[in-house]
Formats: sequence, structure tokens, C-alpha cells
Amino acid sequence: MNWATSEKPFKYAALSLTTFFILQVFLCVNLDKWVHPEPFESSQAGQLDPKIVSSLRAAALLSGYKVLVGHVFWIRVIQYYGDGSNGADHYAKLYDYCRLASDLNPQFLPVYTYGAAALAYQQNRMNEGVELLQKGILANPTVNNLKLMLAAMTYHNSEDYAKEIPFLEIQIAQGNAPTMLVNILANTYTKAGRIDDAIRLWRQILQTTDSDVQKYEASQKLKELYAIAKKNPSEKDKS
Amino acid sequence: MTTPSNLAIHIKGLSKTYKTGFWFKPKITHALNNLTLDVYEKEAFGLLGLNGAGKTTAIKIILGFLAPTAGSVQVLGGKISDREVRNQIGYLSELPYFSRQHTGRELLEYFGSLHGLSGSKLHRRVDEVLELVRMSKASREKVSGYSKGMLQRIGIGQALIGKPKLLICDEPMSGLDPVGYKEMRDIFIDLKKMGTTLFLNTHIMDEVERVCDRIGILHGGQLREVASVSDILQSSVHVDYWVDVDSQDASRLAGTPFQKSIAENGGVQITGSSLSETLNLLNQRQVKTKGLRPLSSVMEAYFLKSIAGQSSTESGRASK
Amino acid sequence: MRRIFCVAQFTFRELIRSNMLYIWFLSVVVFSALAFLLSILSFGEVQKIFMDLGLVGMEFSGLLVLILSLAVTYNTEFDQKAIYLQLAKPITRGEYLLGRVFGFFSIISLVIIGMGLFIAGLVTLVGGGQVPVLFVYSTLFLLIEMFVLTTLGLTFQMIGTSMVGVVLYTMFTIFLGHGMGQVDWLLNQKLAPTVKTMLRIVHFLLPNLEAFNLKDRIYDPNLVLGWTQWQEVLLYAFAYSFVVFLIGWINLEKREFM
Ligand SMILES: Nc1ncnc2c1ncn2[C@@H]1O[C@H](COP(=O)(O)OP(=O)(O)O)[C@@H](O)[C@H]1O
Ligand SMILES: [Mg+2]
Repeated sequence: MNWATSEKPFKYAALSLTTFFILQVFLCVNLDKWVHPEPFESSQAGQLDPKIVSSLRAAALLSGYKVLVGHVFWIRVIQYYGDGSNGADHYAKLYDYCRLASDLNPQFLPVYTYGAAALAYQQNRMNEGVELLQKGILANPTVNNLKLMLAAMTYHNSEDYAKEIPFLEIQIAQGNAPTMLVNILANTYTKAGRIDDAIRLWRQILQTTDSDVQKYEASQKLKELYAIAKKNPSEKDKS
Repeated sequence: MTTPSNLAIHIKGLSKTYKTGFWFKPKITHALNNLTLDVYEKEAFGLLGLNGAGKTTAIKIILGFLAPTAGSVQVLGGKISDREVRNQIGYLSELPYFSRQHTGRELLEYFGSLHGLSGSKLHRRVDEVLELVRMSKASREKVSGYSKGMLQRIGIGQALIGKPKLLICDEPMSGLDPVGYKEMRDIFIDLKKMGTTLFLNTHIMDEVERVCDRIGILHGGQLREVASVSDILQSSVHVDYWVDVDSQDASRLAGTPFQKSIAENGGVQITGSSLSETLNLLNQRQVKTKGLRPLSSVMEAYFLKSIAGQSSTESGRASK
Repeated sequence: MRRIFCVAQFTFRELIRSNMLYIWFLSVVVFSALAFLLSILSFGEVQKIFMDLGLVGMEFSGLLVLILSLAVTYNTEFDQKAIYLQLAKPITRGEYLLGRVFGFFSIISLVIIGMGLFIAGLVTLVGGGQVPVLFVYSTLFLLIEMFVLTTLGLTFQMIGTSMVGVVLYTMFTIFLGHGMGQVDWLLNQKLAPTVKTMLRIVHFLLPNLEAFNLKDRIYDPNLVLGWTQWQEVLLYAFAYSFVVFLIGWINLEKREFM
């Protein structure tokens, strides 16, 4: 059979074109169920520049590289929190930044663990930290880390430090926890009165960390703790 | 539509109009105007014409690259869209181009496989063709390093790879050096002996004289005439002659109707004459001739006469 | 069939010798460096970041190879008229086009699969981690996407009258195709019927590349990817490329080679 310029194949072509067009209409409708982009939860930009927020979202959604944009933006968030000059207003934009990062990349856990720890423990913004964790748990219902962290934070909020400690311990033992959580655990030991455990942990941090800031913090804390321990030797006997 | 079985190409009332320019200012070119032409099997037919005469357009329509505005073409008794018809045709385009990343052998293998050849049959045929176009040596080099002449040889090679019954070439001699030219001409003569129908576009008269059986002269999209080459060569077409004479003899030729100019060194150009007339003239005036040679070939003179003869030079073209 | 294979092989060889694999090398280097940098900076989940960025790099290099191949072959085939000699041979234009599609697709697959293996190797051998099966599925989806885009790009090549035009059409369609997810979402909102109809037409004409975008949802716990979804996506890809291929073929048949 000759499939070149003669007329017959064009009839077949026209026929199959229409058939496939119809098939495609059907598929287009069906695919809607498969491609169901979740609209961004936080529609308002909060304290962030709405222009930047919307252009970032547009870039993520239109390019087809949402995850990539999310990862890159997350670096921006970390830089924001790492920049001491932003401390003047106590990192006011941190919560909005974390929300936006989690919008872009809802399954990227460091956004929640790191963000919530920073907000709740370091900046004393417990409500925002809890909200961020809630969002993370809803988006990642199978991830235990986030639930442990929420439990720890809830006890911390009600100053029930003794109950908080196991949740932090389990989480750290599981790995995947932000390093700042170890510091937090050490501080919580102190608050719960477990000075020995606190000293042990800070020593451990001092030995293992590469960060000068953390080394300095650890040695400061150890000095304080040794002072307390000398005053209160009975604690030492207990353990 | 039926055609006599001995027709290789049957062109009937073929016209082609190009529309170029912008939609608000279209430029229309009538490249072909009611061309009717038959090429017989096993003959070598040369289509002659100046640049822009419409030769390439005619070939493109024959091969199905362009749709005619009017008229029809039959090739080897069928339509060009038929795979079987194309299987029996070899085509060499004007300045053939190949993607630069392959070797000559790979290209011929590719074109051979498009003809349905494969395996050892293909390799044998490729070797044969490489030998024929004298490219065996460079066949494993990349095409990007080939000279123009080598490209033309691979071009003719790919046209011949399927052992075509009909070979269509668009200005096959353009850009070849004298050696390449002679080799190409020999290939054509061999092919003709083997019974291949040749359809050549050209404006090289020497090639026409030695290769073609018949010619058609195309001017401004119109076919001026079709004639057999042997008839033309025997005809009494007027050619310019150059006569070498001494200067005093040259003065004897003064005033003759044929004389155009008298050169310093005593040569005389006799314009537009046949050989017998020229000899007669020289005899009459008792000129001692030291030499006599034609200034153009009969073919060329015939061609020039043909395209100048009939009225307008712009017959086939109109604008707007 | 044999002729289609020959054209594909010829195209593949041409593209590979046009140094398309440098793109692979370049992508591997650039995206590994980027992934390395991001994973250092971002506190954890190094392997996840590496795979995420790897998938982006795979798509990127695939698209780059596609676009460059379109440009290179437009130049040789149409600008320099190498296509003439091929179409004068006993091959139909449909076979020629299909051969081109497969030739393009094979080199794009080579680049994508090569990079995927590199990333998987790095994650398992160096990182000691595990490559989730969804990473493999994402790669397959990427290949399906590339097949659709290859047919589309080559169809544009058959229609287009300049190299720049072909490249721009293709890039524009890729961009809009990725935006189709948003059109999907818009269609589920309350909108004026005329707007909705217009959106439906756009949605219908352009390829829904989000349907193949598994890489952005690889860790999504709500993801349902069963046999039905595979069927739908595969069928959609096939139907879309078939229609596009036919359009390209008809255009090549009707094309006048000036
Ligand atoms: N693609 C084109 N678009 C517009 N005009 C063209 C085109 N190709 C050829 N022509 C015109 O058609 C006429 C015949 O051209 P062509 O067939 O190439 O002549 P030849 O091969 O005899 O030199 C010329 O006047 C040329 O300008
Ligand atoms: Mg020409």
C-alpha cells in the first residue's frame, strides 16, 4: 500500500485524528483527578512582600519545578535566620518564611523541625511553632518525628519539663533531628534539675561539634553547670 | 491516464507560480509556464536554460517536492508518490548537502538501506558504488572534511546506490574541477550504455554535446524547443570564426558583411557564419589563412539563438 | 519498519556525534554541585535533596538535548536541504518523521537514564541510602513526557519555517504545558462560563505536562499511583503524541520544499 501523498491515507489520518481527539477529551477530564494541585494554604503573604511571594509561587507552579524552587527558597530562609542583623526585630518574618517554604515543598521535613524548634525554643514564639508543626503533621501524617516534637513542645509550653524530656530524647535518638534540638534537650535537663545529664550532654556537644559558636555556648553552659553542681553535691550522689 | 510504456517522464501542461513577499505586497513569479515534455526510456535528455529559467522547479515538481499550480507529471508510468516508482529513481540535487557527522560510507549505507538493501548485499553495493565514484579511499572519513568535488561524488553515489532506471541530476557538473568533470562525464556515458535514462539540468554545452541524445531549451519558464543533439550538430547554425591572417590580408577582408573587428596582430573575427560560407569568403578574397577556429560550439550558438530568437526575454515572468 | 529503524539509527548517530553527550556531562556536574551545595546548607535530608535535584537535572538535560537537537537538525535538514535526498528515496514521509522521533527519543533516553543511574549509584553506594521506587517511576514518567515533547518538537519542525521559530514554539509549549496544573485547578473554581470554555480549549490543546510531573510529588503521602493512573497517563501520552505526530506528518506531506 502506498502511504505517501495519495488521498487514501489522508482519510485514515482524518479518521484517527478525530478518534484520538475524542479520546483525548475524555482523558483530559479524567486526568484532572490525577493532576490535582493543592492550592496554597496561606493565601496571605503575612509580613513578607506580597510581590516576592506571588512571583515565587508563580515560578514554582508554572515552571514545573516546584520542589527545586522550594529547596532553593529554604536556603534563603536559613540565611535569614543565620543573619544576626535580623535579630533586631527578633526574626519577625521567620514564621511566614517557613510557611512559604512549606507551601512550596510540603514534604521537606527540615522546614518543620528546624523552623518549629527555632520559633518555639529560641524565639519563644510557641504558638507559631505549634502551628507550623501542625501543618507539617497534616501534610506528612506518617512521619513520627513531627508528632514527637509537637508533644515535646506542648509539655514545654506547660513547663512540664520532666515529661518533655523523653520525647526529645527519642527524637534525637532516631536521628534526622536538627542539631539545635540537642542544645534544647541539654537546657531542658537543666530546667528539670537533671544537672548531671545536662553536663554529660554539653560535654558531648563540646567534643563533637565543629561550630565555634556552639563550642563557646557549650563551654559557657558547662561553667554555669559546674557552679550549680558544686553548690548542690547531693544531686551528684543521687545519680 | 495512460502513457506509452516507453516514456520515462511524461509532463503535461505543467505550470508553477511562486508567491513570495508579504501578504499585502505579494510578488508572483511564473517559474514554469505550460511545460509539456516527454523523456523516453534509455535516452539522455538535457534540459538547458539560463539561471532562473525554471529547470530546478521542473525537477522539484517531477520529484514531488513542489506541487504544480497546473498540469500533471508521470514518472516511469506511475506517480512519484508511489514507493516503487521512487525505488527506481536516483536523484542528485544542485549542491548536495549531507549532515556533517557521518562518513561517506555511512551515508551510502544509509541511502542504500532506504532502498531496502541490507546485510552483505548492502555492503557489496556500497563498495561497488564507492569504486565507481572513486571514493573508496576517503570513504571512512567524515563528510565534514570533504571537498566540494568529493561531496558531489558522494552525491552521485547515493543517487546510484539503488541501481536506478532513471537518474535525475540538477546541474551535476557545477563546482567540479576539470578532472572531476571528466570523471563525472564518463560515469554518465557509462550509465547511458547500461541503459539508464538520464535527465540532466545543465548549462554546460560540452556536457550536453557528449552525453545527451536530446535537449530541451527552457527560457523564462517556457519550453523554446526540443531537438536531437545529432540534428543540431549537423545543422548549419552560424558560429563566429576567428581567422588568423597577416595585416595586409586583413585589409582585404574590410567591408565584408561578416567582419566584426580587425585585431592588432592581424586576426579577423567573422561573425555569425557557417563553416562553408567562411571558407568561400576567404577563397573569394584570396586571403592567405594561417589558422581558422570557431569561437563557440555549435551547441552554444544554437542555444543562444534559441533563447534570443523568439521575441521577449521576459516572456515567462511578470511581477505583481 | 526497517526503514524507520534506519532513519532512527542515522539520526541517533548524527546527534551523538554532534556532542550531545556533553550536555549529559555538563548536567551531571552542574546538578551534582548544586545538590551538594544545597545539602550542605539545608540541615539534613541530604539524599532527598540529591534525588530531587537529580530529577530536575534529568528533565533539564533532556529538554536541553531536545531543543539543541531540534536546532541542529533544522539547520541540516531544512536550511541546508539535506532532507531532499532522503525524501527522494523510497521512504514515505511518515516513516521519515517516525524515524526521527525515535532517533531523538533514544538519545534523550540515554541522557536521562544515564543521569538517573549516576544519581541512584551515588545515593546507594556513596550515601548508603535507598532509592525509593517512586524515583524510578518518576524517571519513567520523565521519559513519557520526553516522548510527547519530542513528537511535539519535531512536528513544530515540520510546520515551522525557521530554526528560531521551531525552538521558540517548543520552549513556549513546554512552559505552558507545565502551567496546565494551574489551569486544572482554575477549572475547579467558580468562573464565568466563557472563561471556563476558553480555559478548557487551552487545556485541551496544550500538553498537560503536570500529568507526567511525578518528581514534584515523589514524597506526597496522598499520592495514589495505581494501575489506573498508569493506564491513564500512558494512554494520554500516546493519544497526544499520536495526534501531534499525525499533524506533523500531514504537514510534511503538504510541505513545499522551495
Ligand atoms: N522558492 C522560490 N520562491 C520564489 N521564487 C522562486 C523560488 N524558487 C525559484 N524561484 C523563481 O523561479 C524561477 C525559476 O527558478 P529555478 O527553477 O530555480 O531556475 P533554474 O534552476 O533554472 O536556475 C526564478 O525566477 C526564481 O527566481
Ligand atoms: Mg537551478
